[in-house]
Amino acid sequence: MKKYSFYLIASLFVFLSCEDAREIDPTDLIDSNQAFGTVGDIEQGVQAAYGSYTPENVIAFSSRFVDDLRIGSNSGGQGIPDLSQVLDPGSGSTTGIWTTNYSVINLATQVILAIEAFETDDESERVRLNRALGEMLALRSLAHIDLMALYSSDNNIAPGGEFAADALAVPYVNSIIVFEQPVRNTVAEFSAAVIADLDRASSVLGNQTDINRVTPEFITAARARLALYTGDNTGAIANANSLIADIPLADKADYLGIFRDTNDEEVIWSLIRNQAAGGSPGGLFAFGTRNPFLEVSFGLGDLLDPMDARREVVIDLVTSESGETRVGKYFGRPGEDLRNNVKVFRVAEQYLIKAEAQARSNDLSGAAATIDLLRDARFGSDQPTPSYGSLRDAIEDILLERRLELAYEGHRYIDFRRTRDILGNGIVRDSRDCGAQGIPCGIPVDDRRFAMPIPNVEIAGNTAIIQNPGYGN
Amino acid sequence: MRSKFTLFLTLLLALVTSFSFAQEKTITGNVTAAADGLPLPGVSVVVKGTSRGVQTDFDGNYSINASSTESLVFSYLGLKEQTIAVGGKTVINVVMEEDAELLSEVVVTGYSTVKKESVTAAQTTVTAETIENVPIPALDQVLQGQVAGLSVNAGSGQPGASGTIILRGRSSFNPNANIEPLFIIDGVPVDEDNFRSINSNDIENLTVLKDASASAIYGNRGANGVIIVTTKRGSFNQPLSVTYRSQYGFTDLIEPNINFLNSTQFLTYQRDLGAGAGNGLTDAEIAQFGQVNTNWQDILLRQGKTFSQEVTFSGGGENSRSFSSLQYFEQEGTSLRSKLQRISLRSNLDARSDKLTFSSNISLNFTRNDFVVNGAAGGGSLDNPFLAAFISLPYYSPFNPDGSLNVTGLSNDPITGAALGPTGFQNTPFVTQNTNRFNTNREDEIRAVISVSGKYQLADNLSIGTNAGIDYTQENDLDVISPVSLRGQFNVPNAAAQIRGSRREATQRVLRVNWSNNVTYTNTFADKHNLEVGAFTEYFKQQFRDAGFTGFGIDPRLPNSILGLTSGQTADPDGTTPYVPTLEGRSVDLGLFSVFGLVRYGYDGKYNIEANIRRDASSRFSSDNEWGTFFSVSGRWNISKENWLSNSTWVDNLALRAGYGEVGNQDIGFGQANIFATRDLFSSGTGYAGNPGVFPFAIGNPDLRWETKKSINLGLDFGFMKGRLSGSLDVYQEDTEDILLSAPISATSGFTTILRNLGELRNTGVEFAMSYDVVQSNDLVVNLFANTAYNKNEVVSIDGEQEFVDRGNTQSLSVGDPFGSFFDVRYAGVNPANGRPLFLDVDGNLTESFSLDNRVILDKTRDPEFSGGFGLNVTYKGFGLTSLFSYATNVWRNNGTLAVVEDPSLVGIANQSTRVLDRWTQPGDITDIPDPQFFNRFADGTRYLEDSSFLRLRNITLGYTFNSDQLKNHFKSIQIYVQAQNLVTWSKWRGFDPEDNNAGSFFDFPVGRTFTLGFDINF
Repeated sequence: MKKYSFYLIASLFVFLSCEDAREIDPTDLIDSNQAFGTVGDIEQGVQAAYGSYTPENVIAFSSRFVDDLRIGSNSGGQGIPDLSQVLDPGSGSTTGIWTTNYSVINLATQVILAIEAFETDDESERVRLNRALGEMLALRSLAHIDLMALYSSDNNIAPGGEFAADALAVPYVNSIIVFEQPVRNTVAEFSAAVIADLDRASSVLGNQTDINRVTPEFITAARARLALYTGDNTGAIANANSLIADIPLADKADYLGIFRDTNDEEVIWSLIRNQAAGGSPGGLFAFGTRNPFLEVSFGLGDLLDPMDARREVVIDLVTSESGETRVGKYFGRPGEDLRNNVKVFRVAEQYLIKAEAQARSNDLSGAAATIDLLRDARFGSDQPTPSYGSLRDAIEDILLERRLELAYEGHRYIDFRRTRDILGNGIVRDSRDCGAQGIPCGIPVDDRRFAMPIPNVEIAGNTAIIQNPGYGN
Repeated sequence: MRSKFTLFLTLLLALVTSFSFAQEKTITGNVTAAADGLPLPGVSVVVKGTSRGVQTDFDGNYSINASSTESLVFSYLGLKEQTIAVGGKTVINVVMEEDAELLSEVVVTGYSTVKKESVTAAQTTVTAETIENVPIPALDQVLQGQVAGLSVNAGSGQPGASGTIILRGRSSFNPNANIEPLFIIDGVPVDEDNFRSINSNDIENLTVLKDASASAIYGNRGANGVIIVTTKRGSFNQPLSVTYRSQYGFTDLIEPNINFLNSTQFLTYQRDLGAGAGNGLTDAEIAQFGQVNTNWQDILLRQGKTFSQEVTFSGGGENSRSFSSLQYFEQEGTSLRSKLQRISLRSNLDARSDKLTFSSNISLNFTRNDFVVNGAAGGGSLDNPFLAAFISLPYYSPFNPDGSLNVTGLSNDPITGAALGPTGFQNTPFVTQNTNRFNTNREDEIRAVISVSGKYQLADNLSIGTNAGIDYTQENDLDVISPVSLRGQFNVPNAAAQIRGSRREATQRVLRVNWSNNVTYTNTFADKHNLEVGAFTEYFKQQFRDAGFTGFGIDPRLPNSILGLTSGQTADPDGTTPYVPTLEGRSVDLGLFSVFGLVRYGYDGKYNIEANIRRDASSRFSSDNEWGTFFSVSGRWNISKENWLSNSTWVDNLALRAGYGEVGNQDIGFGQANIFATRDLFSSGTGYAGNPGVFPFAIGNPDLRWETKKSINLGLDFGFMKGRLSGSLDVYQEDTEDILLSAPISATSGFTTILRNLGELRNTGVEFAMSYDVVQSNDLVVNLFANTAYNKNEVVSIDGEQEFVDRGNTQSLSVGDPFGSFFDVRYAGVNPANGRPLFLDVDGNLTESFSLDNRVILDKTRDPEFSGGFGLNVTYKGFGLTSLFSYATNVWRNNGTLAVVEDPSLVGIANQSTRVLDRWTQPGDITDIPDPQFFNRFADGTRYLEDSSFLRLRNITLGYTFNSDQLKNHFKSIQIYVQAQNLVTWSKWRGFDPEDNNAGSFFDFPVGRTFTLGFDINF
């Protein structure tokens, strides 16, 4: 009896194997050391990086914050904080843009590091890896450029303004960060690093032609944009010229089709938005069956000439009810309301880059001629060539052209802040678009909100980062 | 040993044999209480060693058949049991002595039971009487106001919805950490949300272990306290008794404390603001269109019915006993489609022999829940009837021209003629009704809690025990957008698709297995030294599985079948394939293994000390931090047992308790990122254009360990005036250390936070509970009871360096302030000169410009300062009146609902509160509604931060009990009662319900007011 009970007690304590309660591995997730084991895995990382790149964040902010939208007929309050020009370090727009772009940069960097560490003697694998490397370097560059365009600041509105060489850009990141606290690089350091990435991308990418992914033209377009922003007018003209020479502008008859995804005239990079991946850029302005909570502002709508091909693109003339001016740029495809690919780079932008760089290089007649080419194409007929008496005149006209051509493509806010050193303009909304319902009519030229605030999420985790002027800290 | 057993058997046989020879006779008598000499009804009178028993009637009389060789056992809870040999007597009158020290009363504590007089911890027991027959299908809500320091907030008025239970304040500011107590039902740890679905009539008692003295033995699961539920069991030696319960009732909405514009007011307001249909109308036109004036609350909301039937069987013989219950419960919510139906079944069995005891508990529930809104959409969904009831336009008629209810919407605005999208904003009230009628969002839950336990006496003082339990929950979700509904016709799968509608089915199952074993030694030395030593092991494993799909395109002829769905490959004429189904699934396992022990020592009933220690291993942490040690030490001094007090005539009981303990919280969140938070992880997902992609999921922190709570508790238990006045007072300080903080890291990492053990939080508080029999006479008993708790919460440290972290409105952390303090710009009314809203800047100066830089930490939180309950119970002859009030003070919440219905930017499409009529219109106007042109709902600071403190008459019940005499012995008793839940609420809150578990309301489903009529019949 005694012996029996001893065994009974002993067995109670040892009978249970405690290992299976203590050691449990994840079943739905991949441990980091197994994430990039094959070239196929690395290519999945590339797909993830493309999938994470979200220009819609900038499109939403830029179009709502400035003067291209008004409250729509189905408003339930969507987009009102941006439309109300509330911009603080806690604002959703700055938080979203910052974190999304840096997560693209982080993912691209992880893939780049995995490629660099990947050992293979297989030539076909090496070709695939090189393409992936070029794509990730280029995409990382674009995510960096987006951030600089919105956040760089030098505290005053001197010539060269927010993009002067010694102004603060944002941290350039090409390593895995955990507890490190990166500082903001100067615009000069930052653009040098981005250009180096683009150079390296060019050298490995190969002759890619898929306009839905990174191509040599993608890299040139990114170079042109960066050059214009940072005052490298020569570089901007050279890169723009190279693309203009390669890719013709769309005919007037084809223009609408670009945005309806029925042709890809003049498109350099078309970021796919489809049912499988989700994402509906038109959802930034409307929901459901195109019920608009934001509509094209009177200020923008009135600028569009009925003969201008851009009118029916900017304004949805098909489904707008009486009194409505629904946004038409992301009208959608059959069966897919409000869903279109995002044309991040089009050659039309290159004309505008070239014209602006020409104007800034004091080639005012050259700038006028470049603008005229674009207008002729959009009207489908010869338009009078503009004549610019001064840099200010030229920039003002180019800005107007950019507003029409690049509406709802994420440029408006950046264009305003880039040019206010020359134009001296704050934002002034059309009186019909503002005043009522708490919507302000504009902000003065020296307002802090012309540079986005570094978001609180960054400041909380990074005490080394310097906030933009006027936002505290 | 063997010889003893044989002797016992022989005696037993002799006894049994003697039955047949003894002469049976009828014994009668009267039982009175020694305390007041009054008759005692309900005393159990049992012939010893048999199952023959009766209860005394209302006048204390009984009558029973027994033979002269037998003895009668008289027992009554709280009184000393008496055994009297029958002998030659035919009348046996008994005076029942009070069991002055309640020596026999045993209470439940962690993994064991102790005598009430030996309890060293702060713990409270709620008994069956207070939770029976409350018509709330969620047990957590039944506990509201019952236990000092236990704060329960309902999350929703959906019947059966789970609330949030917080004991002694929020113990963590980690938003993913579980801050709710551990729930144990008959030895089985169960999911805290599913715990609600137990039939509350099955509960014998429920013990809340508040401080670490008692909860430390639950180791890394005990940090938030433990609630131990013991279900009802039969009694040995008692004939079968049957109880039938039946309840009928209805639920209404509580008045919302907000009024809405009627059509005339609304159209005039639109005209004034130059927006919407009212814009440009003449007075005559407004008068004409204002004739249609719909109160959408009447159309969209309803009175819900409650219905319940239950039967229980209870009884037992010499060596076995059983309790079984079967219940059907049905409750409708206050909106169409909101409904809960539940079938509960329980069977509890016990068997005993000389050395072995064995118990089994089986409980099965089937619950069907129908929800109001499809999908996971929250309060802002346009299909939410509690949104639509507020914002729908009053000049729209709810009826078709033929007088029938319009559930398909309007194609044009009746005033402007403007086309309305079939599911556009203005059609909200129609879409809501349509969705509620044609679509389905249903959750079927099957739940089983099963346990078996046994105890074997190895030797006189040594026993071994085991307890194995399973908690199994399976939830089947069904979410159907019917092809004939508006959503189906116009939105799902998309506007152009040829085949309409969608169907989501998902099955989630959670299996928790728990097995604990123990060896226990108990002995008494020299009559004064009581010793108990226990050693335990425990194994716990949880499996979570979830799988489901959403299919698109339903054949209207097969609306209820998966086979009615398209294959997914179907292509529309336009070439698109909108029917591709989506899949979902999760698989997560969790485990714990523990070794622990406890020692109890008592001296002469005066001094008790208890110590326990537990080693826990959790699968959540890396091998360096896998094991943790938790312990507690506590003691009790029964002052009233000291010689100098023991003869006091007015002090029955006076005891001091003190305890210190350290407990852990390993439940740092359920998501994969939390369960595997020590590892760098990637996820597989949909990448670019739908191609497979691999994404960084989380950055791991291998140094993570559990949150630890160190708590100290001092308590005083008292009982005066022969039990008429009793209660307890506790003070505590609880420090939670190593709180997992989603510590901010630079977003350049691709993430914004990483989990780290950084924070420290302190809760200090006082709890007081008392009960007083104001009147105690033969016919009339008036009892007054109250409990109150004060809790102060303070962030002691965030990460050692920072004093403040901006995490948004109520999540911000500020050292020295309570966690959950609102952090916002102070709204300061309206400038009478220009109608602009005024704010205070950080220095307290008035300013008209709104800036988030002016946010300050406010002395306002969503958690109450004082909370508790009180009530009055009166019994007069057969009548009984019980009442329970509950209250919470200094509770603040953001009223997002009110902000929407006062937002002039929505005037074109949504109705507004009548408060907008008081808006500023000209210089000099003193009002708190600004000029509409300056209103911005997203830049209004504390304007809608409202005091949601409340006092609520949570339950009041009036009943009458017919005793067996009145019923001429056809029944043992019949009770009839009427009951009201939430009859009256006093609060400054403007909305349906001040009480909710969120920090900001947004068209929540409010808890309603329920009236029920019930019958209990005992056979």
